[in-house]
Amino acid sequence: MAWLKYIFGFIVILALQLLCCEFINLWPILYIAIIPIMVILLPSSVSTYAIMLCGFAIGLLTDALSDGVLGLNAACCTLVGACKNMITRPMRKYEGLSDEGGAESVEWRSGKLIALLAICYLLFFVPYVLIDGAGAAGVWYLVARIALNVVVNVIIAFLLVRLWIKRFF
Amino acid sequence: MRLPPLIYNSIGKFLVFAILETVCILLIINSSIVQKYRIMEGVRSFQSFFWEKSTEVKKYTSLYDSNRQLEEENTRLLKQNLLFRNYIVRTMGESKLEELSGQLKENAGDSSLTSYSFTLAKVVKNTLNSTHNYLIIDKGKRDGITEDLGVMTPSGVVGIVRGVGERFSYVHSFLNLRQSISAKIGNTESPGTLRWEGGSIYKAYLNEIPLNTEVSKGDTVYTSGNSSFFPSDIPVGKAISFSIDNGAHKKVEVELLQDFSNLDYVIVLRNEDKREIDSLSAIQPPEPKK
Repeated sequence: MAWLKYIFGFIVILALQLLCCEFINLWPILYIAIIPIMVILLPSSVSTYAIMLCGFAIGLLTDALSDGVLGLNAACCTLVGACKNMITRPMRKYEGLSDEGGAESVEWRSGKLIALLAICYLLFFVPYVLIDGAGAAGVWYLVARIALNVVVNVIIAFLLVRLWIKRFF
Repeated sequence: MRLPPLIYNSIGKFLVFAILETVCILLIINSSIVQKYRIMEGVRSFQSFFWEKSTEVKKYTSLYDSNRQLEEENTRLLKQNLLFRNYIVRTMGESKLEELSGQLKENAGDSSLTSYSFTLAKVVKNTLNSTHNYLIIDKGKRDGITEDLGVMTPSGVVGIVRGVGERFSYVHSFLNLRQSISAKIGNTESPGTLRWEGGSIYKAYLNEIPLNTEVSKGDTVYTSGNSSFFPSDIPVGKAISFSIDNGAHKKVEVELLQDFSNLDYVIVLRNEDKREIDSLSAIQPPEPKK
């Protein structure tokens, strides 16, 4: 039944993401991205091919259902999916954990979880801001925008994982 | 050869990633004009970078052909340069000959030079450090040079042609112990023998001057005209001092006007009367009948 949990969790997160896209416009340069959490929390036992395809599908669905640039979320989620196992596997081995099992990263200590989220969100937002900004401003503006998005989204993702996903999974 | 599974797997992941990203980028390009413009700009800059590098590589690989073309061009220009140089030297030579012969006539007086014809020659080699110095000039048989012709400049005597090649001639320099010329001092008509005796290239000695000839410091020494090599009254040096030689003659120390260390062009003198003079000189008076 684990996969049903994932599907349900994914639907909830997607709905949240669409709500964010539609109603939460705190600041034009800030983008609340929740969908990368689904990619990040996929078990390490899932192959990189599957994670990449999953990221691509999640991103594309989000793009299709929101009014953003089609393919932008898909490109960024695919990148996160391609790198996810490369990031989590060394962290897991350091903890003596095997590749088997579910989303153990939700059980990780806060520091480690924040590090994982920060790296993944950085991978998500670098191409996102570069493509979305598309030469609209200078380098420092882009760097500031990436930093702001990463910080805000890591905080939101961390709270989401600790307050809801951890209990749910 | 089979690839190791790790590399095989990595290549596979990369290919899937590249395909998915390409699909995403195509979707982005098709859905937004701004992103399309920026992405195409990036693609164009990558293309131009690639083209630039490939052009550099092409240029590098075609260096051999470029070098060959440059060599050919260089050879062609060298030939052209030589032709121009020859033309300039020839033109310069003609004006130089006019200039030098004008000076010579001025120094010697027209009358003594009427029987002489001039050929300008460039000094190709000039030795100074030997006791038997010589010169090589760039005129030979094909220029009408023969042996026993006098060589000089407006500043004085240089030597006598002793060997002739097709294009070059060998000249016994005056700075040669075997070489002497007939000369006179001041307004006197008594000829002596001017000879370099080694040592300084700026000094020579005029020997066999009769004791009764007045000699003063600074008197000019001229060619006497007694030989058929050189015309008369060409100034060759100035008297510095004199001494009595063996109680019979005066020996005059002469400072040469000709600077042998700075010889560039010389004039070869052909005495048109020389053959006639020589044939007359060869006539022996009949022996008296006993």
